[in-house]
Amino acid sequence: MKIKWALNELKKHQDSSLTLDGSVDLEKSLKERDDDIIAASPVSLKGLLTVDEKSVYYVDMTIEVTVTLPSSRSLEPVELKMTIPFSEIYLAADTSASLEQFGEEELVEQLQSEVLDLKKPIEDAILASKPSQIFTSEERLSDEMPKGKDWVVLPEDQHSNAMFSTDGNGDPRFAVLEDLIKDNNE
Amino acid sequence: MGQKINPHGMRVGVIQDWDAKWYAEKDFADKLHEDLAVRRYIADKLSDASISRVEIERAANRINVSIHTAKPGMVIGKGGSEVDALRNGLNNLTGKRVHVNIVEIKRPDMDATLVAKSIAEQLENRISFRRAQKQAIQRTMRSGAKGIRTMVAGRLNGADIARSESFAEGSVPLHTIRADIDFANEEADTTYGKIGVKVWIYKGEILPEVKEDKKGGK
Repeated sequence: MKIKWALNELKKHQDSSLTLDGSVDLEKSLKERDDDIIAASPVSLKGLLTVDEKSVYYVDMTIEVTVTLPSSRSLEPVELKMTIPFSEIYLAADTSASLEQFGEEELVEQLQSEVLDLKKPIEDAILASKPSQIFTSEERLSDEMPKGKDWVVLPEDQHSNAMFSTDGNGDPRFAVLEDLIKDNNE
Repeated sequence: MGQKINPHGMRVGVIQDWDAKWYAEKDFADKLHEDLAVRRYIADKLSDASISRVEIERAANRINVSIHTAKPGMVIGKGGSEVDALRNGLNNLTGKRVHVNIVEIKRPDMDATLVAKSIAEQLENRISFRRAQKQAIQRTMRSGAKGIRTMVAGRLNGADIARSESFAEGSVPLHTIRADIDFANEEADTTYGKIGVKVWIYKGEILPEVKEDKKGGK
């Protein structure tokens, strides 16, 4: 599928939107940009590219891809299907529109050349949507944590935080002092 | 420009805990430097392991090191090889017996250090700074934060003149001490030089627990 156009070519579509529907293989460059990615399926794109009379290019589409990432706990490969909404605006160098006229929540980019290439923005969207933690289905269900000689993995809620323990018992290391306080009160 | 206190430092001992828990009399300086060496060693060896913070506790000739991470697998390595090497390295560095607790962070998107590291990593991977910040804000708010502010500063998108840009959502009441605000500062090494990343995450207020006196006195 084509994801790179000369701006002259796109100007022909000023009155009608260009339909984006197909898939593109970005596995090699995704793996080059992020060592965590073990494999990536072809990226499926569905949406529209619209050009207005001020040479502003609007791309609205949905990206679908399945990436294989290492599990955060065991490093075993985990497949993750991602559906990413993609909405970006590109301004040609000769446009009469300015960056300021767009809302803060919109992603607007000024094009540096006479070419609109969606490869990098699509890759960016995939890499930015990568979850910060991923587990295999067994790991999600099980509470069992790995351990070895002189090391152990603990879930966050089992790690003691004396100052804020909610059981009201405080730091267990000070338990012996409780008797002293009791004597004082009596 | 206003001089700003570190939000974590201002809350230590009030609503946030210390990262080092030990007592020393004459050898305070030695232990402090040992702590710094341990932290530097871990940061160096586990730079890719999404480490949020390292707690150090001491008892007699033993050191307990708790490594808070979103990716325990990266710390452990295949069959525990990495963590064994790390523990041996720490044993040699300190000359004491080191026990390693690896604490798995439940919600990495609510941890300022991990969010800042993720933005810095994305900037190093040439992702646009706006997209990286917006994505981070979206995820953190979805995880249940009450507010987040992110700031990046430096030669953004390779511009000739360095500047800073920040985005925020929700509230971040820095002047409220009981407000649980996590703060982190990281650096991204790009081809145009360093880009600083700061993240503040407001998780809600921590209110003191009212303890009932069994004797009924005040």
